Amino acid sequence: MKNLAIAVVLIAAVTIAGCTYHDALVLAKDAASDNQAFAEGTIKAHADGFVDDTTERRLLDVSNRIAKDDDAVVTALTGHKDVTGALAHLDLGIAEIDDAIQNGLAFIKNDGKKAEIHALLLALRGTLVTAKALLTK
Amino acid sequence: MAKIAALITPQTKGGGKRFAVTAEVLAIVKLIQDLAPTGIALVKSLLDRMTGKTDEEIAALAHSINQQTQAEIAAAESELPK
Repeated sequence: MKNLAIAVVLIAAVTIAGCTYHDALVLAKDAASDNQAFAEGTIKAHADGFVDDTTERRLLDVSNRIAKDDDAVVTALTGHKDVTGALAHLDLGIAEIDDAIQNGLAFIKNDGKKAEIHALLLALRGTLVTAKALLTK
Repeated sequence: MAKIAALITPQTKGGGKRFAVTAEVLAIVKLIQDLAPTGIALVKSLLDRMTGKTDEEIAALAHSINQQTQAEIAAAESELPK
């Protein structure tokens, strides 16, 4: 009976640990989609004249760095399960989003467009924060 | 396991068969009841993993989306004045 209980606990622990990586990976994939929506939203806002060239360049630079960080997270989680590396890149991505919210949104002229891009950034931030929470639990 | 099997082995009494219900059997039943929600969650999680995409497929999809985003950004930046 004791051996059975130990086996059940071990199977549960292995399964839950496996799910953590898997779920974090799914969230990293979702973050890639969120980031694409953010980049496309910025490009559209620029094309419609709501974002000037400098702001578009700044926001797209943020999106580009997030795409690279997200790729690094995916690589870390699929290879040798490098949680420390994945967390470091998640932190970088979150910091870049915070910087964009603090310094990049102010230059968007239209309040509606500003709110739209802010919402896209917050959705992306939420996905990254959830992935981080999964890996640190 | 042998102990559990012995506990639930039918016992003959007065020509009929019946199970011996002891405190230990009740404790085992209670344990199974307690573990059921965890078991269901584990089975659901395993099924999700079996029927869903593999880690490699998800990783490939994420890489593909990120590359597409970077290509869109490069195209947009190329249109900006130097």
